[in-house]
Amino acid sequence: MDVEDKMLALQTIPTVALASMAGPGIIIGAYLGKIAGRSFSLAIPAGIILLLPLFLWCLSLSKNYSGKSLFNSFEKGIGSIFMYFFIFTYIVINLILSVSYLLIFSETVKTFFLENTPIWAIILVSMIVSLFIAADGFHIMLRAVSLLTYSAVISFMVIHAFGLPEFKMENITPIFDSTWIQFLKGTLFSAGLSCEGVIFYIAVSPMLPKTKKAAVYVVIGIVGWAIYFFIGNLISVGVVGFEIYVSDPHGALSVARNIHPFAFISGLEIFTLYPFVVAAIVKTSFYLYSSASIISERFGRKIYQPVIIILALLVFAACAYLEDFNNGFIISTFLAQYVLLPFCMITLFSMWLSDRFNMRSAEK
Amino acid sequence: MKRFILVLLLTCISLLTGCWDYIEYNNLSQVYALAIDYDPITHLVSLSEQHFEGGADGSGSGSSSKDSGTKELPPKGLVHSATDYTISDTLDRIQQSVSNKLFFGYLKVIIIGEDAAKHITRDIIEFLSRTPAIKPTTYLIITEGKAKESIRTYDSESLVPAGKILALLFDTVKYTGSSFKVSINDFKLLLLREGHEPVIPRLITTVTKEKKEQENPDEKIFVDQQAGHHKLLGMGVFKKDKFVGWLNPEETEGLALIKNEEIRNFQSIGENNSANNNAIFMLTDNSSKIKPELKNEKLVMNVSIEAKAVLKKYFTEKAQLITPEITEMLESELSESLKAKVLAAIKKAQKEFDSDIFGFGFEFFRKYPSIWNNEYQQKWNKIFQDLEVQVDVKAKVINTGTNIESLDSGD
Repeated sequence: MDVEDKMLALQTIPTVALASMAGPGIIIGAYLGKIAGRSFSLAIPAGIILLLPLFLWCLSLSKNYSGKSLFNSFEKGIGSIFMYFFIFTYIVINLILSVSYLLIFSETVKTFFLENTPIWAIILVSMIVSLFIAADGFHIMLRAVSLLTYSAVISFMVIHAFGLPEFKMENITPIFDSTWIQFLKGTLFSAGLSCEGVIFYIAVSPMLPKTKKAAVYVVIGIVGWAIYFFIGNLISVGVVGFEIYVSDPHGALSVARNIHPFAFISGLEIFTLYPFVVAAIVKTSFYLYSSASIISERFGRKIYQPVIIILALLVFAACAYLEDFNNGFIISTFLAQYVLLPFCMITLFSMWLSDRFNMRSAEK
Repeated sequence: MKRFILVLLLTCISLLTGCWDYIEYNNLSQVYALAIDYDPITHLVSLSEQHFEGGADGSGSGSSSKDSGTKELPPKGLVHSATDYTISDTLDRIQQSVSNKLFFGYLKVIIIGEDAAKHITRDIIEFLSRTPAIKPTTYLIITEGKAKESIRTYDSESLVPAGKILALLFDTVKYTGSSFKVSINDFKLLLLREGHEPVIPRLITTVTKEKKEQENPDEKIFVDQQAGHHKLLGMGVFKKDKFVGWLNPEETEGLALIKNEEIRNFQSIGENNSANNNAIFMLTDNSSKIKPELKNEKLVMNVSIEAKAVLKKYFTEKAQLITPEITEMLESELSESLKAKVLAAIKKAQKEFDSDIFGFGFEFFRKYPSIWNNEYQQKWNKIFQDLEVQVDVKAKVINTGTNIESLDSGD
C-alpha cells in the first residue's frame, strides 16, 4: 500500500468525480420523472450542482489529513466511539451500494443480453474484475477507472449521436410542467443519487493534491457530468417520449432499443451493454476500495488485501441471495431518497466539528 | 495476492468454461410476423406466427442446412397458429409444436385483427412491451376480419412470405401517402399520452386462389398458406385502447399532413379519378404546425401546412408557356386539394370517431399546461367534438419538370 503515499494526478480528478457520481442514475434516473414530473431533466443537473459544496467541503477538511482518511478527525475530536460508529455505517452503506449496483446491472444484462446465463455468473465475473482493479490500491484502480469511464462515455455518446435524428421536441416540452415541490423533491433525489460521489470522496479526498487547481478539476468533473447527464437525458426523452421514459426502469437501454439508424440495425442496445458492465465494475471496485482502505487504516495496511477479498465475498453472497433486479432497484432508490445525502451531511458536519475541537485543543 | 489470483483464475477456468446463452443459429426459428385475433364470444385469443428455420431467410433459396442440409424448407416461411385464453399461453402451445426455439429478435410486423383491436389492445401492448426480445420498433398493422388470414397469405408472384413483404411495404408507404409507419413504441406512447389518440396502418389482403378452410382450423397448429397480395391502405383509428373505425386513403393523407408524416406521392387536380385531370404534381416536402389559440375563452386550433411539389403533368387547351400566374393558379388549386383532404380527416375524427388522432389536445397542453391540467383535460372529449379548426395550406410548385411549356390537350 505504499502507492497511497503518492497524490493523484490532476488530470485524473475530473474522471474520478464523474465516475463516482455516475451509476444507477443511468437506469433509475427514470424514477426521477415520477417524482419531479416533466421538470426532471432540469432537476438532474440541479441536484448534481447542489453537491458542489459537499465535494469542496470534503477537500477543505482533507487539508489536515494528507494521506489519511477523514475519519481520523474524530479520534482527537469528538471521540473514537463516534469514529467507529461512522466508519461502521460508512462501510455498511458502501457494501449495500455495491450489492444494489451489481443486482441492477447484472439483472439488466441478463434480461436483455444473456437470458440463460445464471445471475450469479454475471455477478461473479463483475466481482472478480472489480477485485482485480481495487486490490492493488488507489493509483492502479483510478488509472483503470479513468480508461473504463472514458470508453463507457464514448459508448453512450454513440447512442445519443444516433438518437439525434429521431429526437422530437414535442416529447420534452413543456419542461416546466411541475410544481415547485415536485422539482425540489426531484432535485434532492438527484442529489441523493449523485451523493455516492461524496461517499467515495470521503475516503479518497486526502489522496487528492491540496491545491486550488485540484479543487477546480473537481468542479470541472462535477459540472461536466451535470451537463452531460442533462443533455443525455434530454436526447433520451426526446427520442422515446417522456411518458415511456419514466415508465421504463432501464432508461438508457430502452432509449437505445428505440434507435434504428439503418434498416439492417434494429436497436443500439449493444452500446449500453459495455457501459452497464463498466458501471457495475467501477462502482463495485470504488466501494470495495473505500471500505477496505478504511478498515486497513485502522488495523494495519497489511490486511488490506485479505479484507477486500472478504468484503467481496460478502457482497457476492448478498447478491447471490437476493439475485433480483427489483431488490436492487428498491435498495438504490431508498438509499438515494432517504440515506445518502443526510448521511454525507451529518458525517461531514461531525468531521468539521471534530476538526474545530482539535484546533481549539491545539490552541490551548 | 498472486496465489489468490491464481486460485481464482483456476476456479474461473473450471466454472466458466462455456456460455450459457450459446445457441446454434440453425437451432433458432426466426419469427418474422405475428398475427393476433380474438373471439369476443368465447374470449379466446388466437395467435399465429410466421417463422423461418435458422439458415433459411425466406429470400428464395428454399434450402436449409438443418438436417445435414438435405431438408427443403418452403421459402414462404412456416405459419403456426394456436388458440388459448392469453397470448403467452398461445405462444407456449405454438412452441410445443416447433422443434427449434422461437426467436423474436427479427420480428418485423405484428398484425392485429379487428376484434382483437376492439377488445384486447391493451393486453397486446402490455405483452409486447414486457417482452425484451421483441423490439419496440416493430411495426403494428390492423386488418379487417382475421389477422391469421393475412399472415398465411404469401405473395403469389415471388413467393415472398407475408412478414417480409409487409416489412418491405413500410419502406414505400411515403410514396403512396395512403398509410404511415406506427411502431409498438409509437402506439404505447400515445396510449400513455393525454390529448392524442393512436392510429395503426390498415392492411388489406386479397387472396388469389381461394382455398377451402380447414375443418377445424383452431385445432390444427401448422397452417396451410395461400397465394395473394397485401396492401397498406388507410389507417385504423383508436380511442384510448379501443378500435373505433377506419380512415380511407384520402383522409389518411390529410392526417399524415397534419401529423408531419413524410409524403412523397402524386397529387392530381382537375377531374379526379379520370385521365382528364389537368395537372399532376409530386410532393417533395411537407411540414405542419399546430398552434392552439384561446380567443375570448374560446379555443381555436390553427393548423398551417406547407407543401412543396414538382409539376409532373399539365394540359391546357393550347400549348402555352408556364408563367408565374399559371404557377400561382396551380399552387392555389393544389393547396385547395390538400386542404380538402385535411378537412375530411378532421371531420371524420370529430363527428364519427370522437377521437383526437391529430394531437390537438396535446398541443394545447404544451402551450397552456396549467389550463389543460386544471380545466381542459377532463372535458377534452366534449371540447374536441366541436373544436374550431382553422386550416391553412400553402403549396409551392418549385419545379415544372423538364418542360416549361404545357402540352395542348389534343382536342
